Amino acid sequence: MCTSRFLHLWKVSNMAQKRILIINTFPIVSALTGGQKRQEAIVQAYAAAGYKVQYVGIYFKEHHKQAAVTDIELPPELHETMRQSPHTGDIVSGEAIYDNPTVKRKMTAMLLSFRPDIIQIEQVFPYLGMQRLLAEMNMQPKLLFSSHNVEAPHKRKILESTGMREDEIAPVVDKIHKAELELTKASELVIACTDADRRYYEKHGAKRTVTARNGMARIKTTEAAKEAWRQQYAKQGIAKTALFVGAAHPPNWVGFLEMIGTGMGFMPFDSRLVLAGGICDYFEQTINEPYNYFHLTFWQRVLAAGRPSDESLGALLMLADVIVLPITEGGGSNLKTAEAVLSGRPVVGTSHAFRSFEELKDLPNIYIADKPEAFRQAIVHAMQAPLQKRTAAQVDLAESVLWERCLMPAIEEVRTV
Amino acid sequence: MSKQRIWIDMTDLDRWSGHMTGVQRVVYQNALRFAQAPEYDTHCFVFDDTHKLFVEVPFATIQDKIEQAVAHGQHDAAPAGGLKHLLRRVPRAVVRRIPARVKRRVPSLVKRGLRKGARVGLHAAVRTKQGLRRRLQTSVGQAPAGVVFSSKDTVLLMGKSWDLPDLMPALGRLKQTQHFKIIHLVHDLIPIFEVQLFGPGLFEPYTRNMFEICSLSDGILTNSKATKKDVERFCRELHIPQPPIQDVRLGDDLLTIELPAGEPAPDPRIEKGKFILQVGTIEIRKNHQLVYMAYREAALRGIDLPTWVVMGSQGWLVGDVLWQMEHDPLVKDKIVILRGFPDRARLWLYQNCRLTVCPSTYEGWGMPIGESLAYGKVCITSKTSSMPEVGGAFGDYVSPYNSQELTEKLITYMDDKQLAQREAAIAKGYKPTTWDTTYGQVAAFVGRVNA
Repeated sequence: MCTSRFLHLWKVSNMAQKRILIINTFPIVSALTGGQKRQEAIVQAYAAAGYKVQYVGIYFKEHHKQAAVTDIELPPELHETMRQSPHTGDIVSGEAIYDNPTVKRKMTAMLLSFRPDIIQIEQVFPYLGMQRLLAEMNMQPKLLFSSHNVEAPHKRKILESTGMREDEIAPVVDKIHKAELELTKASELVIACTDADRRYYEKHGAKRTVTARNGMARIKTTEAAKEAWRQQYAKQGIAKTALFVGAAHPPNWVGFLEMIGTGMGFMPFDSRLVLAGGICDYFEQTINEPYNYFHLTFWQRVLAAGRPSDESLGALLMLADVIVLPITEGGGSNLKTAEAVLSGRPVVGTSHAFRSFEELKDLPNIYIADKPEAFRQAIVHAMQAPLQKRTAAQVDLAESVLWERCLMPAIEEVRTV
Repeated sequence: MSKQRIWIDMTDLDRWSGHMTGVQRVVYQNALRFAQAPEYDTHCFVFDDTHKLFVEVPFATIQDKIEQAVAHGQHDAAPAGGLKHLLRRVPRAVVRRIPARVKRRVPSLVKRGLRKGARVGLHAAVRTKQGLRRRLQTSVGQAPAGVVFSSKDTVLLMGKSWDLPDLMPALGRLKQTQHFKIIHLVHDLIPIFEVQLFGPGLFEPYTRNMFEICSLSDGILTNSKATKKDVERFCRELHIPQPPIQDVRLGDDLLTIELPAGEPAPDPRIEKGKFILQVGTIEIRKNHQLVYMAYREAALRGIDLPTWVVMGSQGWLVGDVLWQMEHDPLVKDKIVILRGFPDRARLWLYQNCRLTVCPSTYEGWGMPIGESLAYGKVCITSKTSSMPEVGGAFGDYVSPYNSQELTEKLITYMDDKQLAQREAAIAKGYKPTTWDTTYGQVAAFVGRVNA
């Protein structure tokens, strides 16, 4: 009796102590980008569900200034390769797990010390090295594939937008495609971001799949942060703002240029389109050609807010008269969409921006426009239209984008692995 | 029924010195007629860019200044004894005292440099004086009272608002609360679409200003169909909701002064009836290069063209061609350049020239073409932008890029019979536009915008 009770307790304790190692190609300390935020939320969700979680990001120091001690920094001999690979650095990081002795040694040490029951591969790239390392170490933990996008076609679009030649693009895309297919088949469970992605993995041999769409943490801000922006706006005579939050990620500027363009004359005199996040760098570096009247006048109606802190970004969101989501490409579900809907502010977005959030399109103050002219008109209209109040049911629907609710199906499914 | 209150921007004319340019003519001629029209309650204002205020000025003050200047043939309306007057007189007095043999030995580039330096110095001194006066007023509590336009008012701007980068933003801010109407007359968008025709420094203020004009105006007037098209293009490309736009035809009638019968030529090198006239700022856009090339070509072919009289102050990017014109042994004696002469001299030149040339590469309108035709003189001009609108069937058109075409045209009109035939056709058919007509079109548009 005593022995069986002990065994039961040991099993319960062992259940609670199930160890999950999550691997990706960036750290999540001070998460800024959409990918980092999803990653951070997954780690927190597992921890909250009672798992012992270890996250490891293989990262390049010039791209990420902050990291945890358990993250693995790419060694100096890979720095130049990383600099030369602005859009394929994730492949370099993934392959380094096996191909680079320093990274391999650190990952091996991590595997030996943590001894994971489950390894969750994020975004496929770490699998390029992990697959070979696990085989060499003769380790057979259960694999989970946590997809952020179907990466092969997504990478093709990014590389094409940089003007890379097809003979250079094809091998890169092919490598990713093969890794995705192999990981799909090797995994106990594939966690997809959208139902469309989920169907893709089912079609390509996944044993089990679940959709855990992207969500959002509650927006945090302070009265002081809001006041700082109010004063800034007043100083510049800005009465209305349309906010675009985005990382320096090609689909962000491609969508902006396609749906809004550089002709900002549709914005009224006392309004500004406020840019926040890494996207500011792109526009500041490219929309600055001398004697170009598009570029010059662009900045008469656009304000680059840089990379604000979470509190400051929260203030920008809460003060915005409209949040814009000019997203025309890219897979996955869109974190910015969740953030915008959660803010309760009016939103103008493309149908594409609302992929996997279709049920939210009918909420009040949400405007969908898929043609550039209609999109610009919707921005002006939304900035001036009175704000309609959400009902209790609509508030609940809007809060369905919170991370804890979005990730719940995946966490439940993982329990059965 | 209460009168429509209209506020006219007179900042250009308030600051004016020198001879009137086309823009100032448009402002003055229209303001004059609005001020006299019983159906309007007309007020004038100037923009005080120190305090960012709109300050009312009586139209009579501006009118006196201009009429006095015109009547006395002065090209500088500064009162005698004033700062501007002194700044102009002192250097001239010094130069007069330099012996002629020394003057001859001073290279023309140095002379031009000195003249330019004096101009810059003059403007700086005048601006400093204005700034000091405003600061003094402020320090003793006499900052000017700003006009606050009301919702039933119309603010009409016809001048060079790009010179005052704070004007349109200040007007825009006021409009947000007062909801008055803004009508702006646009002269051209050349510095935006033809950037190569200007030096550094103009593109930015000009473009920014045009962007706010198009964004804030309830109506836009243009001086030609060509400029209207350019405004439409600017709005379309930059996604600016297009306000109503109307082109008006500018007046051709020069001043209402009579020249006495024995009025002398403005320069002894000019002989009545034996010169070709080109009026307008000497800048690259006005294409003096083309006429210079045509003169060279004619000289090389042994054809003796009449004197070419160039009247205008120096503008953008012409240093090189001016140097060529002044030093080319083949044609330099055929060229007379008149800088900074009064309107009555211009009148004399129009009345007594053989024909005129206006071969600009681009124009917003092309006032010298209409003026030439109004005086019954043949005008050889370009077949681009607004110029064919001005001359219609009575202009003689060439490509602004083909000097040979211009040479042939000039040679054609060296034939007295050919010239007389063309002049007869102009006299019979060309109907000059009066400033009354222009005003009528402007007023009708103001009425439409307020309807």
